[in-house]
Amino acid sequence: MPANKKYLTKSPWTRSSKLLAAILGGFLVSIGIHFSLALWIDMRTVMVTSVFSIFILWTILMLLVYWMKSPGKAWVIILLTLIICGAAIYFGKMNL
Amino acid sequence: MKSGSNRNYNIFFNTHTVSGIVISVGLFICFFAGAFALFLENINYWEANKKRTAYPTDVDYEQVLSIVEDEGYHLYGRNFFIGFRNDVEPYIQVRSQALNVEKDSLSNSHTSEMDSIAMGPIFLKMDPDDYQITAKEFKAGTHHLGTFFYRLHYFQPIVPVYGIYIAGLVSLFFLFAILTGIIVHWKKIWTNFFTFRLKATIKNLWTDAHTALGVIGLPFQFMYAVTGAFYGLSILILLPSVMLLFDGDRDKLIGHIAPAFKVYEKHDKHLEHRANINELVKKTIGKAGDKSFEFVSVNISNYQDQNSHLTVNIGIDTKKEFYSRAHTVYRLSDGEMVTEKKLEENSYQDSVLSTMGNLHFAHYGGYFIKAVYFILALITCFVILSGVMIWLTAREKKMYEHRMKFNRNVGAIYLGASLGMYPAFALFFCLTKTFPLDMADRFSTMTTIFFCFWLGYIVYASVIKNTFKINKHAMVLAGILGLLIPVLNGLQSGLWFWKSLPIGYIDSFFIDVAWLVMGIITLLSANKFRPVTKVRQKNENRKVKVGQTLVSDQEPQKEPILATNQGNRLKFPLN
Repeated sequence: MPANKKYLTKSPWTRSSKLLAAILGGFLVSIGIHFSLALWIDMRTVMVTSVFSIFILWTILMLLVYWMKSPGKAWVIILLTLIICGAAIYFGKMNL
Repeated sequence: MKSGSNRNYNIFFNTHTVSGIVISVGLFICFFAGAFALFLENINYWEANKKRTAYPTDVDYEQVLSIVEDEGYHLYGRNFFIGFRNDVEPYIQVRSQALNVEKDSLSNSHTSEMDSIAMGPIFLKMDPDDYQITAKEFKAGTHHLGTFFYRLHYFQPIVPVYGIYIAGLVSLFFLFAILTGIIVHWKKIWTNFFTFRLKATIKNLWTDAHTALGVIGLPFQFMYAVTGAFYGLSILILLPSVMLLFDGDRDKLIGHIAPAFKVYEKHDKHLEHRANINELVKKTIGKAGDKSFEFVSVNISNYQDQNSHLTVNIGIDTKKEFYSRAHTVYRLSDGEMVTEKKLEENSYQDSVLSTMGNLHFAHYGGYFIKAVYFILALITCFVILSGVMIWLTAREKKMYEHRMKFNRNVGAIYLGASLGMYPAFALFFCLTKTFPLDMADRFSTMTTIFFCFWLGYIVYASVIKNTFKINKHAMVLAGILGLLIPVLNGLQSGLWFWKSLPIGYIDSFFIDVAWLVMGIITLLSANKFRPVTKVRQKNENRKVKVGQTLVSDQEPQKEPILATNQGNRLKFPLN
C-alpha cells in the first residue's frame, strides 16, 4: 500500500525545493557543524570522527527537512545555521 | 491517530519507498558483488591455481630506491610509498607524487621532456625476486576474477572512474532508507519481529521478510551504509576540509586523520648521511615479535632532505586480533625514533579509520566472520528484493491501472537485473576455467560474455514478466553452473577438491566446495519454489477472511501478482 497522497507534496517546485534542501542543505549544514566543532573543540578528534558522523548527520538532516512542513522554513534554518557556522569557522581560524 | 503522526508516517513511508526503489538495483549489485568480493583473494588464488606464500619481510628498500634513481627520476624532496603486495602475482610497489616544480626552483626556465618525467609522478611495479621493473604506469584494468567482483561492487566496470561516487550516493540513500524504514516500522518493531507467516498467508510473506530480515540485518546494514558512504564519498569530506580548514594543504589533513602518512616540513637542505632504511625496518619488525605479517610498507617524507622521515607501517595477521596496525616514525638524519604507535596501543583517534576498514572488508576473525558477512549480505539482498516486491504488489490495484504496464516493466527489469547476477557470476567462474590460458584478450572477452549474459537475462525477464519464472530460472541456471565450477576446475587444473586440500591448495579447495554447497542449496531451494497460485489454493481452503485480497503471480494479465496486506496490518489512514 503506497503512502496516502493527502500528506505528500504535490507541486513540483516544492518537491524539488525539498529535495535540494535535504541533499545540498543537509550536506552543507553537516560539514559546517563539523568544521566549526573541529576548530573550537579538538581538531584531530573531530576530523577523525567526521569520517563517519558527517554522513550520519547529513542523513538525519535529510529526514528533518522532510519532517518540516514547508521547505521555506527548512531553507531559513539551513541558511541561519550556515551563517553561524561560517562565523564560527572564520573566527576559529583567526584563533589558530 | 493524530493527523500529525499520520502525516509523519506517510511522509516517511513515501521517502522510504522512493529512496529504496531508486537505489534498489544499485544496492543489490553492491551487496551481491560485495559478498563475493569478501573472498577476493581466495577467488584470485583459485583462478590462478596457486598456493599462498608467507609475507616476506626482507625487501631491500635501499636497492629499490637506487633502481628508481637509475631510472632517471629526480629523488630529492619526494614522498615515497614502498611496499610489497602479496598478490597472485606478487610485486613491490613504488609510488610518489609529482614534485612541485615551483618550490624546488631546480628547473625554472626550461623544463624539457626528460625533466618533466624526472619530476613527474612515479608508479612502479618491481619483481620481488630480481628487482626488475615490470610496470611503469598505473593500469586500471584487471585480469583476476576476485578483483573484478571487487571492482564491480562499486560499479567500476560499468561506469569507469565515476562508479565509486555513484556507489557512495547509493550508500548514502541506503542510510536514509534504513532510518526512514526504522521510523515507519518502529511501533511494530517488537511484535512483528516474531511474525513470519511463511505458509499461512503468502501475501504477508514479502512484508514479513522485509521487516524481520531488515531488523535482523540492521546493524550490519547500518555499518555498510556508513562505511560505504565514506569510501564512496570521502572526497566530499576531504575537499571542503582541505579548502576551508587547511588553506589547500592536503598533507595537514592527512597528518590529522592518517598519521602514518604524515608529511613533514621540508628544510630545503640536502642530507649528506642518512640511516639505513632496511635496518630501521628490521628494527620495527623485531618489535612485533614472532607474529605473522599481512603487510610491511614504508613511507618516506622529503627523501634526501635534512628533515626526511621514515614511517614503517606494519599490519599483522587479523585472524585473532581486531587491532592489527602499528607504525614507527624515524628521523632519517640520525635514525632516531620520533613517534610510535604500538600494536597494543589503540587510541580512539588512531583506530577510527582502521576500524572502518576492518568492518567494511571483514578484516578480522578469519573465515568465520567472512561467512557471517556473506550470509548477512545475501539477507540484505533479500531485503532489497522483497522491498521491490512490496512496491510492485502494492501497485497492482485498479487505482494504479494507468501505470500498471510501466510498473510491471520496471519490476521485471529490477528482478531480472538482480537475480540474473547469480547465474552470471557462476558463468564467469565457469568461463575462467574453460577459456584457454594463452588466449589473447582473455579476460576482456570473458567480461563481455558475462555482461552479455547478464543483459540477456534482464531482457528475458522483461519479456516473460513473471516473477516466479524469473526467480526460478535464475536459481536453476545458477545451481547448474555452480555445480559445474568444481568439475571444470578439476578438469583444467587437476586440483579436484579431494586432492587440493592435502597438498595445500586451500583456496582451490575452499572455492570448489563453497560452490558445490551453494549449487546444491540453490537447486534444492529452486525445486521447492511453487507458483503462488498453489499456495493460494491452500489458503482458500483455509477460508481466509473476506477483505484480504488474495492474488497470484501466475496470470499477471488477469490478476495482480502478489499482495501484501500492509493496508490491513499497518492501519493506513485511508480517507
